[in-house]
Amino acid sequence: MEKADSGPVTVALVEDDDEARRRLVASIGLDPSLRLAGEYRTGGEALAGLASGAPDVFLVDLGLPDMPGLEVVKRIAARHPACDILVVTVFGDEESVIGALEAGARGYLLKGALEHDIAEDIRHLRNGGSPLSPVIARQVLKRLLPAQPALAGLTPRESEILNAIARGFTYAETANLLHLSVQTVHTHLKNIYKKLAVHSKTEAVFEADRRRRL
Amino acid sequence: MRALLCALLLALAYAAPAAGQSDVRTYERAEWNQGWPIDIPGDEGIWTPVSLPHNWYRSPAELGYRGWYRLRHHLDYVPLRNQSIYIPKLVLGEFTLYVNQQKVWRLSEHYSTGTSLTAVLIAIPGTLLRPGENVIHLQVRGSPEWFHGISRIYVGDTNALAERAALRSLIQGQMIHIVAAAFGAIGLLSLWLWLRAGRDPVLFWYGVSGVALLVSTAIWYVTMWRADIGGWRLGLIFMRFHGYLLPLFILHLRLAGRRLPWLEGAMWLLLTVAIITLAVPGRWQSSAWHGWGMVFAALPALLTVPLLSSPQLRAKPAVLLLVVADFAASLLTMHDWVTRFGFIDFEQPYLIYFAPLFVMLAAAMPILERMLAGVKATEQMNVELEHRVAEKAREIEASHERLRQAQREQTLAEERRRIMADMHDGLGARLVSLLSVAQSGDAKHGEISEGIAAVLDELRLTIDSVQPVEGDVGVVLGNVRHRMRSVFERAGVQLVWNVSELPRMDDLTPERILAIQRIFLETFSNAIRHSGARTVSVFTMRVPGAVRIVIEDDGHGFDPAAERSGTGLGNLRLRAAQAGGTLSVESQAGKGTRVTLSLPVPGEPASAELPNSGQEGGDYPVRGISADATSA
Repeated sequence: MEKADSGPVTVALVEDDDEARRRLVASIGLDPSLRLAGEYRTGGEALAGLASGAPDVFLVDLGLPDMPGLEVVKRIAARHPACDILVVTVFGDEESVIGALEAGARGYLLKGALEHDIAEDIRHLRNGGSPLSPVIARQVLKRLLPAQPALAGLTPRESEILNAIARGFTYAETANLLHLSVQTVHTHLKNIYKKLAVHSKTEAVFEADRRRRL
Repeated sequence: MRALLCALLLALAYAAPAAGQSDVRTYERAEWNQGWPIDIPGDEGIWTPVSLPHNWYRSPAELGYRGWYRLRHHLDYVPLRNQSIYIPKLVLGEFTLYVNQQKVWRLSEHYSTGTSLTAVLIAIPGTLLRPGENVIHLQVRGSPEWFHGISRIYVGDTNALAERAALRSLIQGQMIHIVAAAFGAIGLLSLWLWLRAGRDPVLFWYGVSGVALLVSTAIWYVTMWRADIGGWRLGLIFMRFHGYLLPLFILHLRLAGRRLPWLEGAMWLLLTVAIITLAVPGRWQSSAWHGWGMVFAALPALLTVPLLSSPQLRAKPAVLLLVVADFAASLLTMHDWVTRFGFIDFEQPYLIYFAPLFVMLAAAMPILERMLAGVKATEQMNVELEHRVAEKAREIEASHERLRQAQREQTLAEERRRIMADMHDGLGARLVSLLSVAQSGDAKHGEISEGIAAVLDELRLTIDSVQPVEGDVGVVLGNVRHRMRSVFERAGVQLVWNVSELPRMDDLTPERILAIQRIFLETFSNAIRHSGARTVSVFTMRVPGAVRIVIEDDGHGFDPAAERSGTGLGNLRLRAAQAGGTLSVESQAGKGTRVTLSLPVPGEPASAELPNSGQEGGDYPVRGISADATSA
């Protein structure tokens, strides 16, 4: 699942805290496989900077001064579908993460974990993995399971995978439990992310339609 | 409308004599011969002139009980067309008509009461008439106290007289019966309606009045001349005139919403007494007739008292119309009496028969209004009822919403209090101690960063406890593992995870979640830091009424007897109680430790079985302690 080895992965980021931004930039600079494509302080700057083209990976801090981070995620996801958007949060609190996934993010990074190598995390996510916490898995199950026919629902296999993750099993353990390869689990998770984004869009359309009719 | 009809009838009655003047001779004078000779008295008898109409009540002394009237009818020639004698009103006991000494017609009737014949038209056989003088004799019997008498006598062309007779008989005969039959039918309809719809007493008494009217006329038919029922005949005639008034009287009371049993009883008694006294023959029988007649003539006007005494009814046009009709009925009845007493032309038709017509017609109006009002009231009530039901439903919904809101608010407030207390006592206390260590400057290597990491863990735990887990304990456990993964990795301790799907627990509050998380954190921390364990395994199992969560390590264990008073165990028990469950710790020196948390499943009967007593067996049940949280 590794992306084609055509040069380094380009990374852009938006983060209002100078110290945090410095650490992120430093971490990216240390890794030869990553290349910084731009750093922004506000959502407005980021949207302007990425208007013409997008990097491979875009890191978004959810707490921006000028606009909600989710809004930035939504706009970039709509304009550059190929761009992997990763949300940077303090505790990975599940509500923001679910919101970000629905807005079109591919995963999230925990901010302030000094002992962690950001570059390592980015590579891991680029490989198709994102640490889905049990609570998020449970929420995804809840969102996608009562599938209205018109909305994208989960397949039984996807449900099984989410169920296992919700009970705290790692991806490897989940793969083992369900007699799958880890790669297959990753593929399923990617599909689930897509469905989440589609789901939220369809839901929005449905909601708008319903309001119009009212 | 009715007044117009009445006027029309009277106008017709008066207009009648004016028609065909040339062919009809009107006799307003006759000669009277008192006595009852066998043969027709000739000129030698005592003939006194009398004027017609001749009301015996006005001249009782002259009349006695029997006698002869004589008319001289002069003809220049015998007319070609048939000739008749027409007497519009003839109230006499016995009556025989002679033309030129030949008997032409005879009527015999019960002597004392006589009969009211309306429109007597007697054809004169053509052979009896001759040019010059024709003598007409009428032999009669009657009595002044019964108001006997005779109207004008008309002699002339049969066709012209037949018209008048037909009109008179229409007003005084057929019409009365048509009216009675019509109201009888309406009465029956009312009774049927009364049976079918609501049993409104007003409808009932209206029905009875109508039927009484019909029945009274039927009696008149049966007894007219044929049946001899003695004195009762008079009573029945009285009934015919006034019987309908009693149901009408009660109808008026009901219309006014009154029920006066004593008065109603008294009225029935009055009618009964009247009929009985009328049935007893005697000199004063006729006085009773007059007396009762006058009393009952006043009755229709008295009917209006209950109506007029109610201000609401007084305001209604339909009721006022009925009041007018009642007075009209009284007037019509009075009219007949005044005629009998001679204050009005004796030839006037009887009008008492039309009294019920007015009252019945007018009474129908308020009854209809009443029924319509009933229908409207029902509709209104339905609408109001629907309104009220909808309103109640809204109120209930609103109060439910308020209740839910209050509960939400209370839950939130409790949560807020708990989180604040946690932050104050947990995070706050740790930060204060960290601060003092940092300020003292003699912090050991890594002490501060470890402390900060612990504060972060605590903060993360608090945030995790309020995450939505949908009552799934598995998610709570999964989350703990998720958070602790790096700790296990760094310590090089293997975590064997075996959490099965667990039943939903809807009562899993953040407080309980936090307690479960802390039990795990402390147990994990003990295993990693103090027990020297290589492997920690977590597994869950279902037992009746509960979920068991077991944390085992392969560390060096401890002697539970020595640790009984230890604060670590006490803390765990306290957490278990906060988590709403029970906790047991089994350990043996050198044989590892097993911590079992048992959480009740809502809606399932609890199992009395203790965690260490049974099937899960395990490696070390040898010397376990079983600490029930409640007994701790």
